[in-house]
Amino acid sequence: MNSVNKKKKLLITLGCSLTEGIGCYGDLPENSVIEGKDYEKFRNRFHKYSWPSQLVKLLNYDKLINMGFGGSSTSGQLKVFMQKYEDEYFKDYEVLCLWCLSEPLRLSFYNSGHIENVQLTNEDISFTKGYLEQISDITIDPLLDQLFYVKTMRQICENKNWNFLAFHNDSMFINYINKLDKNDCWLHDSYFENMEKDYLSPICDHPNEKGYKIIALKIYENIKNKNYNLVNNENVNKIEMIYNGDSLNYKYLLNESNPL
Amino acid sequence: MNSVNKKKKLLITLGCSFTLGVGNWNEKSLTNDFYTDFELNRENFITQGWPNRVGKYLGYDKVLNLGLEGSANSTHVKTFLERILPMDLLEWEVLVIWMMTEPTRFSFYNGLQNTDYLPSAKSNKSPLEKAYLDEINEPLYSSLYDQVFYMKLMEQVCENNGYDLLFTSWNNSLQQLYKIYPSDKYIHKNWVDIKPKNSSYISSICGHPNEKGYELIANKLIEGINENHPKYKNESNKDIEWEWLGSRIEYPIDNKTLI
Repeated sequence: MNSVNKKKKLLITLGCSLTEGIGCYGDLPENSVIEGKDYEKFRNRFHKYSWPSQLVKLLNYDKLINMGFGGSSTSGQLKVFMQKYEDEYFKDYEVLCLWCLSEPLRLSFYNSGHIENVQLTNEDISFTKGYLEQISDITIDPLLDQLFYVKTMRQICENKNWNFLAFHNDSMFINYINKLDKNDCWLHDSYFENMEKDYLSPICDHPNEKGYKIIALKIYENIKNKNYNLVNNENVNKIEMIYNGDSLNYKYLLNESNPL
Repeated sequence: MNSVNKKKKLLITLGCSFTLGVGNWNEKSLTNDFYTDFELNRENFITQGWPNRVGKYLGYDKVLNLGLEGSANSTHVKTFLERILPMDLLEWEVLVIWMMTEPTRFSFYNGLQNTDYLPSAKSNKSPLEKAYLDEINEPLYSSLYDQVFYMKLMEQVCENNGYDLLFTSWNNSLQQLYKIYPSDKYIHKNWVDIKPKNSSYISSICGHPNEKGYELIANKLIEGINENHPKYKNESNKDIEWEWLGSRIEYPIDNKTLI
């Protein structure tokens, strides 16, 4: 195939705040409190300096769709993906879907037509108490649910003829995953751990711009070593970057037709 | 293609107790211990349930029944991934019929196996089931969107493996589902209540359909397939092979062996 006929390359990233890029507040002082509208103002900056935005450049891809969303669960991330791209195949692109798995103790349900992500570390929520009271192993059991969604996503990507890779944001799960789901899709490394203070946001303890740059480099090196065919060796002039991680709200549409 | 090269036809059925065939009791053999009787009658449930009846009528060679009592729609998808995807079914032409259940049911892995929670069950609600009802507004309507999510996942998984897929449900919520998720994969073009109402079609032991009830359900499904999906009708086959694969898989691991 000559270069004229080569397909353009698209990177789709899924994940939580670490994929959205939360922590890129620039030079704000340590004691700054960022809430509500102020937080919204920073979101464009998060996306601009997130690891997906930096990785897409290293990979020489033409387009990025970042679906990382702060506080989201694995199932919630897949729900948003299904809302947005269930029928999309991106046939003009060679697609790499890269999923950074979040803390497994997060769940999601639809509630009044929107996706509600439940963080089971928040003890104010009665669901947290119910779940922790009933689930016997809060390390492996939630991981098994998480792996179910990964296996499903693998099927979806295979069906769409996309490449698929995944990694966990907490390296503690690498050993478990190695035994529970032997598959080539896993990029096992510690991307987010042992970061020095300079690389972390003083406001929220997430990585900052410099931190995400290091993370993007580590992921790139890992992809280059394990999946060299996924790296584009030709330079790209202009990269299109889209953020599309917000969920849709199906507000009681039972009397309307085809809202989905 | 000559007949020698023709693929055999496999019907895979997914669902809860209605797909397992609960209610088809052999009343002569009952011991009055519900759980003992349940296990003793499991084979009777399956042989007399709607999957084998529909499979025979449609002329399928084999039925793989994944029905499991008390299971959630999410469990059905998990079971399909765990049980069916590792199989080599290249020799088979596969049709999956998913009889979806009551939508508020949900599932999580617990103790290394998938476990179902039924918040709408009438008694003995667990803390997790109560919490769901506390947190979720109008659970029936909210949960339908979760159901649609799992339907979409199944569509992708089946498409990826070259399996055909049809949806139905014994639950009245299917009416709302037709509105929020129109699809040509429903067995009936418009909502049809397939659940028997007359007491002569219902088991006095458990309130599920009895043999007559499952025959009625099978006939309604066959009517829908004949009318809307006639390509699945072949010459009927009375000697159908069947297998039940609905039991839960337990991951044979623990924290110590994993570390």
